[in-house]
Amino acid sequence: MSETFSLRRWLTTTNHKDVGILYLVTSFYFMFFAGFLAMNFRVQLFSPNQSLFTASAYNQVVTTHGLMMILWVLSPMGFAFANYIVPIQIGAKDMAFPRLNALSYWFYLFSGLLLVSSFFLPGGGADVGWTAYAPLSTTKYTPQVGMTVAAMALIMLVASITVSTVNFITTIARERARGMTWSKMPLFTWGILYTVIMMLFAFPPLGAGLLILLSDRILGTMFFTSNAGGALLWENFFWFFGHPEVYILLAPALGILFEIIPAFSRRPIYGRKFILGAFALASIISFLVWGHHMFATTETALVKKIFSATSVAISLPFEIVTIYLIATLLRGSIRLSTPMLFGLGAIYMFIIGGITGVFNASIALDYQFRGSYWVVGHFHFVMGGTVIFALLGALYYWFPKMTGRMYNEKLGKIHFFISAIGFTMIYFPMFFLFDMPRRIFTYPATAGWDFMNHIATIGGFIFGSIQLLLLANILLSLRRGPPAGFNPWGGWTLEWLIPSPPPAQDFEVSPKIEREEIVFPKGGSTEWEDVEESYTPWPLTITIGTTLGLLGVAMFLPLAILGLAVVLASLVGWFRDDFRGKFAAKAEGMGMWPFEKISHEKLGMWVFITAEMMLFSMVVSGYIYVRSNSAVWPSPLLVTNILAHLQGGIINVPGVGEIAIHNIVLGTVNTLVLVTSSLTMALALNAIKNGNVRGLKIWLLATLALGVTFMVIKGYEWAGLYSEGFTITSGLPAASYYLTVGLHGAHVIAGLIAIAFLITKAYKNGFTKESYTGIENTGLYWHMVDVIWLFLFPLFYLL
Amino acid sequence: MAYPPPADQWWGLFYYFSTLGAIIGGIVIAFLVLAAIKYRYKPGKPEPEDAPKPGTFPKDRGHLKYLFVLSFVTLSIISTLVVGSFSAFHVLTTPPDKGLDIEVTGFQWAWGFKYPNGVQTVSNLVIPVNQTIVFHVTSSDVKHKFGVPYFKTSIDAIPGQVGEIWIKATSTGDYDILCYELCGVGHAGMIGKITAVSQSQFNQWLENATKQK
Ligand code: HEM
Ligand SMILES: [Cu+2]
Ligand SMILES: [Cu+2]
Repeated sequence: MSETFSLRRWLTTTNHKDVGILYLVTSFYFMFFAGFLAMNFRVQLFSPNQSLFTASAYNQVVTTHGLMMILWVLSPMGFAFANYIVPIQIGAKDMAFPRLNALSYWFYLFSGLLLVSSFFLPGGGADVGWTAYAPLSTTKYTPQVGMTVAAMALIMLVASITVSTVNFITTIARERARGMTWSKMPLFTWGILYTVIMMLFAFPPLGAGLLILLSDRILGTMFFTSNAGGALLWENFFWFFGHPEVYILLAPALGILFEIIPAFSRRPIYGRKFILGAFALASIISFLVWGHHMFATTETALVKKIFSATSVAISLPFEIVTIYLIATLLRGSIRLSTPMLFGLGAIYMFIIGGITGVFNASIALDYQFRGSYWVVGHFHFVMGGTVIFALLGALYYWFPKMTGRMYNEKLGKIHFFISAIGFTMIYFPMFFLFDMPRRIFTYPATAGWDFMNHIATIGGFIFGSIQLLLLANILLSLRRGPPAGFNPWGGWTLEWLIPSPPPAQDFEVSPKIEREEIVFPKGGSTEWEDVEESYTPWPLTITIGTTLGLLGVAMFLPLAILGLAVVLASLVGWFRDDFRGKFAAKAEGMGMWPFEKISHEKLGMWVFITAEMMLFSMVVSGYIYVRSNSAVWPSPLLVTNILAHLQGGIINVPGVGEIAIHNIVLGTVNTLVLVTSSLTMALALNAIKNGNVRGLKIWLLATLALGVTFMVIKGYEWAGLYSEGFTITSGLPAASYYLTVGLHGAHVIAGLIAIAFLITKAYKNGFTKESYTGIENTGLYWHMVDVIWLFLFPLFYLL
Repeated sequence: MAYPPPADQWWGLFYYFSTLGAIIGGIVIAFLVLAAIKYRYKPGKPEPEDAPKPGTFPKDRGHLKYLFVLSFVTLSIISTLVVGSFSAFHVLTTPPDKGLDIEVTGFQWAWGFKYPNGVQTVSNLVIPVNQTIVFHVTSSDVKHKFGVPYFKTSIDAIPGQVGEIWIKATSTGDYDILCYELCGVGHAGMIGKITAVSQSQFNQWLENATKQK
C-alpha cells in the first residue's frame, strides 16, 4: 500500500515518515492560510483610517493569525521533521507507539480545522487575541460560540501534543540503536527531546486554564469574572504555559541549526556539551520567567524584579548557543547552499530578537513596551525570523532525503535573500513604533506612524509573495529535480546512510554503533513486520468522534452523544487489533541509562502520568488561588462547623449566607473504597504474574466494582448537594469543588472503561504469565487516580 | 528635547540599552557575516581535517576556558542592565511627592476620571502643569492598559485591582492617552486626552466643574 496517491494509505498510515509528510503538508497549508490573513491586515494598517476590515473582523483575523502561526504552524512543522527524521537518526524502527503517533496527527489536523471553522459560525470566531485574556474571553464580553469552539480546538491540540510528548520521550529514551548513548545522540534529536520535555510541563497547564475557561463559558462558573480569580488568574495560567511555549517553538529550530551549520561548515559543532548544557539551563529557566509578561499588572515590585532578573539572565545561555554556532564556522570550508543560507539567516534574526528581548526584560523599559508594536517586532524576529527561517532551512536540507530529488539551488537562493530582506522590512520598523498599541485595527493620521507602517506593509508583500517561489520550487523539483543520492550534503547522521527516499521500513538491518562508527551488521536481524500491517483506521475515527463530541458540547448536545459513540466503537476496534496481535510490540531498541529496566509501554505511562499530575496541580493551584483571594470560604477547621461537617449539608454563616459543607463521613468512606481498589488492582497484577488467570479475573472484577461504588457514592453526594441548592453556579467554593472533583471523576470513569476492556480480554484468555503489560499500565494509571484523590479529599473535605 | 518626568528616566535607560544593543548586535552580526565569507568554500580548498564523515561521530571540541570568559563578560554587562532597570523602575513607580490624585477607571471603551473633590470627567483630563499627578487605575469590565506614551509610562487597568503610576507635565499642551491592551472592538478608539494648563487656569477650571456638578 505504498503508492504515493493512495487515499487509503494516507488516511490509515502509522508509518513515521508518512505521518511526518502529513504534518509537513498540513502545517504548510496552515502557514499559507495564516500568512494570507496577515497580508490582509497589513493592507489595513498600511496607512491611517483604512476600512478593509471592521474592528470586529480585524480582531478575529489577528487572533486566528496568532493562534494558528504559533500553535498550528511553527510547532507542528518542527514535528514534521521530528517525525520523519528522529526515528531514523536514532536507528529506531518507528516511533514507540505508531498508532498514537497517527492519533496525534489527526487530532492536530482536526483541531486546526475546528479553529478555522469557528470563523464561519454566527457571531464569528475568537476575537480576543492569541492570549485570550480574561475576563474579555468570558461569555459576558465574548458571547459568540466561535470563542468556545476555538477554546475546544485548543484543548484538542493540547491532547494531540500530550500524546506526542509521551511518544517522543519514550521513543528517544527507549528505541535507540545499540550503542547510541546519550552522548552520541545527534543534536536535532536532542533539540526535539528538550522540546517534548518542556511540552510535558507546559501544555497541561494550558489545558487546565482552558478547562476552567470552558467551565466559565459553558457551565456558568465565575473563575475569570470574579475578582478572586479574574484577569490575574488567567494571566498566570496562560504565561506559565506561554513563556515555555515560545522556547518550545525555538528548540526544534535550534536543533535544526545544530545539524545544518556544522554540515555546511564541514566542521564538528563547537562546544557540543556546552551548547547542550546551556540549552538545558534555558529550558529550566523558561519555567521561571513567565511573570515578565505581567510587568504592567499590579504584582508587587519584588515579584517584578525577580522576574526581570531571571529574564535578563536567560539571555546568557542563548548568547552562548549563538556564539558557539558562529564559532563553528571558523576555519571551515563553508558551502553557502540554500539550507545554510537559511541557517545563517536564522542566526541573524536570533541576534536581533534576543537583544530586543533583553530590552523587554527590563521592567522599566517594559512599562512602555508592553502592549506596543515593539513587542510585536521582538517576537516576530524570534518566532517568525529564527524559527521559520530554520524550518525553511530544514525543508531544503531534508527535501532531497524525503523526495529523492534535489531542489533548484538558484531559486532557493533567491527565495532566501528576498525573504530575509522582506522580513527585516516588516519587523525592523516596528522597533520605532513603541508608542503604537498592538492589535488596533486602525490609527489616527495625527499619530505619525504612517511611514513605518508603509515600509512594514511593503515588506509584508515582498516576504509573502516570494513564498510562492518556494512552492514553485517544490512542485518543480518533485518532478524534475535531479536524483539526490544517499548523502548530498556529506552529513554524518543515520538518515544520510540510507536511500532517498528511505524505504518504508527505513533500514534493511538494524544499525548498531561500534566505537565511533555506525555499522549495519551483516546478517543482523532482517525481520521486519509486514508493512501492510501498519495501517489502521482507528486513529482517524477516534478523532472524528472527538471533534463531533466537542462541537456537540459547544452547540448541540445530541451530536456529542454521537461523537462519544464513535469514539467508543473505535476504541473497541483499536483494542481488538491489539488482541489479534496486530501492532504487537516490536523488538525494542536499547534502553540507555536510566531506562534500561523499564518497558516502553510503562515508560510511556509514566510520562503520561507526569502530564496528568501537571494538569491536576494546575487545577488545584487555581482552587488555592481563588480560595486565598476570597474573604470567606467554608472550612471545617472552624470548630463550630465540625458537627455540621460530619453530616454534610448546608449551613448558614452569619453575614455570608448559606454555604455547603461537605460530608466528611461519606468522603472518608469513598476514600477507603478507592484505596481498597488500588489494593485489588495490585492483587490482580500479582495474580497474573504468577500465571493465575482466575485470580486476575476476580481481582479485576473487584476493582471494577469498587470503582463503580465510588462513582455511585459520589453521585449520591452530588444529588444531595444539588437538591439543597449547592450547584456549580453557586459561587467559587461550589465551582472549584465540582470542577476539580468532577475532573477526577472523569478520570475514574476512564479508568473503569480501561478495566472493563481488561476484563474482557482476561475472559478471552488474553493475558498470560509472560504478557500482561495492559494490566501493569492500567494499574499504574489507576493508582495515579487514587493518589490524586488522596490529595483532593483533604483539600476539599477537611481543610 | 527635554523629556518630562518620568519619561526622562525611561529615555535615558532606553538610550543606554540601545547603544549597547547596537554595538553588541553589530559586532555579532559582523562576526557572523565575515566568518561566513572568509571561510567559504572555494574550488580547490581542502576539507577541514575534522570534517564530518558519513557514519562517524564527529569529535567534540571547545574549551571550558572560553565559556568562563564569555559568561563573565556577559554577566558583567547584563548586571549593569539590571541595576539601571531597577533604579529607573524605582523612579517610575515612586511619585516624587504627594501630588494630585486622579482615579482612573477604564471601561469599554473610554477612560473615566475622578478628582479628589469628586468631579468626574470622561476621556478628557485637565491637569495643572508642573505638578505631580498620581493615577490610581482600575477597570470596571475587562482588562485595559492605561498608557500615556509621551511620559513613557503605563499600567494595566484590571477589574478589582488598582495600579499606580505618576507623571509630571513640564509644559502646557495636549497629551494622548492610549489603551495598550486588547479590550474588544472599541480598543483602537479608546483614546483620551490630557490637557496640561497653568495652575491658575486649572484652579478656575476645577471650580467651574465643581459648580456644575
Ligand atoms: C534573550 C531571550 C529573550 C528574552 C530576554 C525575551 C524577553 C521577552 C519579554 C520580557 C517579553 C514580554 C514583553 C511584553 O509583553 O511586554 C517577551 C515577549 C515575547 N517573546 Fe521574548 N524573549 C526572548 C526570546 C524569545 C524567543 C526565543 C521567543 C520565541 C521563539 C520569544 C517570543 C516572545 C513572544 C511570542 C512574546 C510576546 C507574547 C505576547 O505578548 O503576545 N522571545 N519576550
Ligand atoms: Cu516570555
Ligand atoms: Cu484596549
